[in-house]
Amino acid sequence: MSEKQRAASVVLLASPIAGLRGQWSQGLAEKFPLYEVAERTALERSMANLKPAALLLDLALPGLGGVDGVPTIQKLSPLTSVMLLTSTPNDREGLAALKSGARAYCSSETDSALLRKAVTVVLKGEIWVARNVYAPLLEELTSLTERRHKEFPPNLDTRLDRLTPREREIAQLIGGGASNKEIAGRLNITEATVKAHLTAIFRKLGLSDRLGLALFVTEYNRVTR
Amino acid sequence: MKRRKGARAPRRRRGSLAWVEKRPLRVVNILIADSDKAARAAVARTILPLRGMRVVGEAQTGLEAVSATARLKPGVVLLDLELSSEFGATLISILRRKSARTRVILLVGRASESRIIEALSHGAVGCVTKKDVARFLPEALEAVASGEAWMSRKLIPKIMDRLAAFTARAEDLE
Repeated sequence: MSEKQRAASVVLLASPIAGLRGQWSQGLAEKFPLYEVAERTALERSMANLKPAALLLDLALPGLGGVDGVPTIQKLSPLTSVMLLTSTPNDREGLAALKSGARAYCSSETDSALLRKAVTVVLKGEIWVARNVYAPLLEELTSLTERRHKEFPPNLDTRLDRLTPREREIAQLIGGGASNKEIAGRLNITEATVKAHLTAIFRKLGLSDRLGLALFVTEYNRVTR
Repeated sequence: MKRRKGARAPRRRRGSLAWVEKRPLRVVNILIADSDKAARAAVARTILPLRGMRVVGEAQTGLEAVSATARLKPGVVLLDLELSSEFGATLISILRRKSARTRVILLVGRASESRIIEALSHGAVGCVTKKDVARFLPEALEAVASGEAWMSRKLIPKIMDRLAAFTARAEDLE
């Protein structure tokens, strides 16, 4: 980092509690130029005028309105990395914090060395949250993905329609894990005939092996069920 | 199991299961699914000394992973991301349907971040790069077994981008 960039990395501390601001500044004062505000009006003014690289924001700041108030503050300086601190961290609020655009969410009692690391990685573009926020974050990702797949089935595969009824029957048996011999016995045909059918099935579906076919059929059955 | 005389014995006879929850050790059954024998061995070696973790099966192909998961209902499947490559990330959805309690941790060799995030969005809850198995797998297993997720912090901005894209798209449609 050049001297100029370093000089630009102003960090703004916002908390109604002077002791807390003092605690935060311990680890940061050496590395960053710091400014402190204790209430909302001063925060808005400083955000607009200073355009700090990072804002350490106590969620208990009067008038902020918690996590929901973050976007309004962010608008005053869109490039500032907003880092939220709270005396009562919990994973749901952590997820909401990230979704509001915050780049960090952690305990306001985080020790000074760790807080310095948090600010450093956030300024590099990373996001800093407690590990217990990871699980709800991934749950959200998975449930949105699944909902999307329900609304817009991922190009619902109609390739199975190209098969003849007999071929479809064989494909379903492969999906159930049957061997060629079992299929031959069940349909009362020779194994050679099963193999010939399979070759046709692979060609029509653009697959290369039984594993692919089995998974294809499983997935097809799920989507069409 | 040897029976010891003690205060808990009468409760056991009454059929209470309270003593079970108090046992300090809960064993996590693990399935290793990787086409590479050496990679499976390396993972098994890492797990061997871990308290409360045991390998109950190995799978070499995606299909083996599906049938072993259905049969063994392991607590955790360690899944080589390459194994599901042919079928996109759908293998993970299939594993989860075969056994609802099973949690999937990805073992990643050389894969792009977007493929990892694709797999995470289909329900994997952990991600460990293969070269870091010895160093991070124990921690990842511990976290996932206790209901948390485990991955590199560096993936989080990409995940937030993906979530934001979902939201933006939903707004477009409204």
